[in-house]
Amino acid sequence: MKLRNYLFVFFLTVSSLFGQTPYNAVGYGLFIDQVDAASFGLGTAGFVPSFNSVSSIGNPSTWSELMFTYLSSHYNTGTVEFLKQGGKSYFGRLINSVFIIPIKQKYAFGLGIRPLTRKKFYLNDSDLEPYVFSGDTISVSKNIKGSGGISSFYIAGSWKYHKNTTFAVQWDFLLGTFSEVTTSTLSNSSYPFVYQRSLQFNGTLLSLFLKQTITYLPIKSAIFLMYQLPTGTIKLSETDYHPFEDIDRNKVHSSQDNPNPFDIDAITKTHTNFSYPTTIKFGFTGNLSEKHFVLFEYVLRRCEGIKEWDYLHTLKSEKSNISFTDDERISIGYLKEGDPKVRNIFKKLHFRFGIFQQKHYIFGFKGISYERGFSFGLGIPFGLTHNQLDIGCRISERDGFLVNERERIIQATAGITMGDIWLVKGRRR
Amino acid sequence: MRINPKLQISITGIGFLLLLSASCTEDPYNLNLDDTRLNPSCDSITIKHFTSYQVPPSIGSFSTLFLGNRDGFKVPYTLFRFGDLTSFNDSSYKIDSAYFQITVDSSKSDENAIGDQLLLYYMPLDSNYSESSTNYKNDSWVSLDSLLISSTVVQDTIDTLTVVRFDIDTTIINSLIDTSSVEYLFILQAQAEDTSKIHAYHSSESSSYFPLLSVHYTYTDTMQVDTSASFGLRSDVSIIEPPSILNLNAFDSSYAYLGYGAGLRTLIKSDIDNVGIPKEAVIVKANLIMTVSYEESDLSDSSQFKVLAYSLADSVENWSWGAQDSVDIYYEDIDLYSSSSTIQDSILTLNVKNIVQSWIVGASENFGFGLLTVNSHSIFDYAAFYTNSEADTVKWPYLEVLYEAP
Repeated sequence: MKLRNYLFVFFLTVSSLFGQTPYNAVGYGLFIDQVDAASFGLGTAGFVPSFNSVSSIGNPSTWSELMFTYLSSHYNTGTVEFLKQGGKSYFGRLINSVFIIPIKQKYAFGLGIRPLTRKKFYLNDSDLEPYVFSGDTISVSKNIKGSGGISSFYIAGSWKYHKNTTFAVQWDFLLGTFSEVTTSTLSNSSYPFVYQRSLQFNGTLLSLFLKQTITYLPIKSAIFLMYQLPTGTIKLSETDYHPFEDIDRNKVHSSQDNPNPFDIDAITKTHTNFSYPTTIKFGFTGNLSEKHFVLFEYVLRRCEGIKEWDYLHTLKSEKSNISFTDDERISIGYLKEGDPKVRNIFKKLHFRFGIFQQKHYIFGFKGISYERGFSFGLGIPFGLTHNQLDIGCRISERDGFLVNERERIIQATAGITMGDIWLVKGRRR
Repeated sequence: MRINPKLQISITGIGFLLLLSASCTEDPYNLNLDDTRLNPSCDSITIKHFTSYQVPPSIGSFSTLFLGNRDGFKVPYTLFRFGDLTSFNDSSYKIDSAYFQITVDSSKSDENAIGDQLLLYYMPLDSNYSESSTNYKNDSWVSLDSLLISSTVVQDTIDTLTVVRFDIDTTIINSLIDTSSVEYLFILQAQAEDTSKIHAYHSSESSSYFPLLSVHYTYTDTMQVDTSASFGLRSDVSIIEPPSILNLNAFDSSYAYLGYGAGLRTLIKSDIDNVGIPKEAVIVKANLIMTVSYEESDLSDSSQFKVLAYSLADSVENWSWGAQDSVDIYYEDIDLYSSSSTIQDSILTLNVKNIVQSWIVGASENFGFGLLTVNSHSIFDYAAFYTNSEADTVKWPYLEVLYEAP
């Protein structure tokens, strides 16, 4: 099978399914930090080197270290298990696809797509506060389904200013939609009532990267910094469709439904007083010995103080006492780098292991919600162009949201990175 | 570029597992959703604007015909228009005899009126005649100069019915058969000494015993003799003059009145625009609720007193009580009606959901409701409903709305 045929099949099978959790019913939902299978196995958010000891798919300041042009795609799947209610939610999603062109090991250019947030939830309440109408007590049940999120098309470039110092810049063009369908059933009515709302996001993020090799430590030891901020106008268009009594039960406001006329214009409001959090990342790579590395990563997402999120909430904050804080993530990983040139399979593979703790920006039932877990994975290099198949697994738990129960998240990510000698051919010739 | 076959198998296998895990169905997560969008709300709006007025009754579709007087109602005569007899327009037919027959509705007739004789007049059909619109205000063209015949009362021993028959002269029947001849309107009247009571008869809208014209004839081609055929009426209507709404012995301006034969109708307006129901609301239920005062009403059977509400198409200029009009200017260009409803346990509950929904979304403007009676056990029935003039506020009319809004 040729590469293009394989890629076609791969993308065809990538479904846009996302794991549900009640956390996703407020704010942006949970942020997706994972960008590739290698960093996934390492427990990091893709900022410190994980593809090998000097480069990471998720950090443009490390791209100039790559020898070949790469196309890299990563798929993440798993379950969210609710330990008290006993339900399970399954998900599968493409988490990154990026095309990277290193030039003379001094510059690099890349472009790709990745999800930043995903909101998926399916909530149900069959015992809402009853109402009294015409002397009759009316029981009410409701369910809400939501899906969507923000994705990014990004371009990035890096410049090795000095043999020890590399700068990089990345623009994320945000785009995405979120739709929410609320279905309410009243005991004195034969038909359900349906309300739909959708949000559309637009905006731009600018990220500045720095990689600095630490010369007084063993070779390949380095520190990494990143600062990401929204630029221009982050715009949110909110469209409210008129609720209707779904008499034909097709969840579409048609001529059979009430109210009729059914073609009532939806109300669209554009919110520009709307923010996306700024993000700071710090990373460190320490070389323990020739092939053994320890990696540390810290991510701070400034969410506290952002007030203009009401439009994003499905669960309103007035009664539910929903609060926000900064999102923080700390991870420590270990990488045993393999050698693509040797035949011994164990020496050839990359082995990765890590632990992490994430403080989510949405408060959980007990207050600040921590997610803690561990991860492991391996990388399988193959081919002359240092292609690589990466697999990572991660198991974590976090406090429940609004309900005193814990959520266990078990996920696996697989990624393939295919190299070519594009732009390198000429140099070799 | 080619990929190692073993690698192809591995990748395909992983992809299959990923897809399999992703395609599982999900159960909803149970969570308190009180504080989300689309919540039910109730509003109760007291009706403070109302008026009752009177128009000539249009009772052509009623199933009973009347003659006589009762409780201030006067029914001077009833008009009949015969059906088509052109099937006899053939020289082979020889009309031997004919009679017109109506059947007493003993359940609605005064008992001492059942055996009374009646008078039948006739006149050329006037262009002003209309079953749906002829009334006591526009009947000056009716002439009682041509007495045709008085009736004979026949007791039907088989069905225990009382039937009133009029023998019709064959020249009249031949005139009806002749399409080039003038068409006649027949006028039924009670004898002068019998007008203090009510005579009731089944009308052409009745499901049985409707008036009929029976013709006995000979078909000369076959010498078939003494053959008969019966024909129903084209239309009929009793002319009723109700007591005036301004008759203070009968009516009180503190109440809202409805009556079929009385021509009593009511307009009301709710301040629903000021309640704060959002434009985005979808109406779950909307009921217009009124309480009847039996003391002020004249109801033979309230469970059969059927009322309809409609959305007014224009604003009401004058809310003063007791207007009397020749035509109902408020019952024109009506698009939105409620379903009709009857009085149950002294409460009239009208489902006005579609009307209120139309007002809320702005498809039509809230000019108020019109109320009229569409049927009643007796045509002389009328109902008086409490208004905000009543001391007991529980009896005030109100609009109750249950809606869901984001």
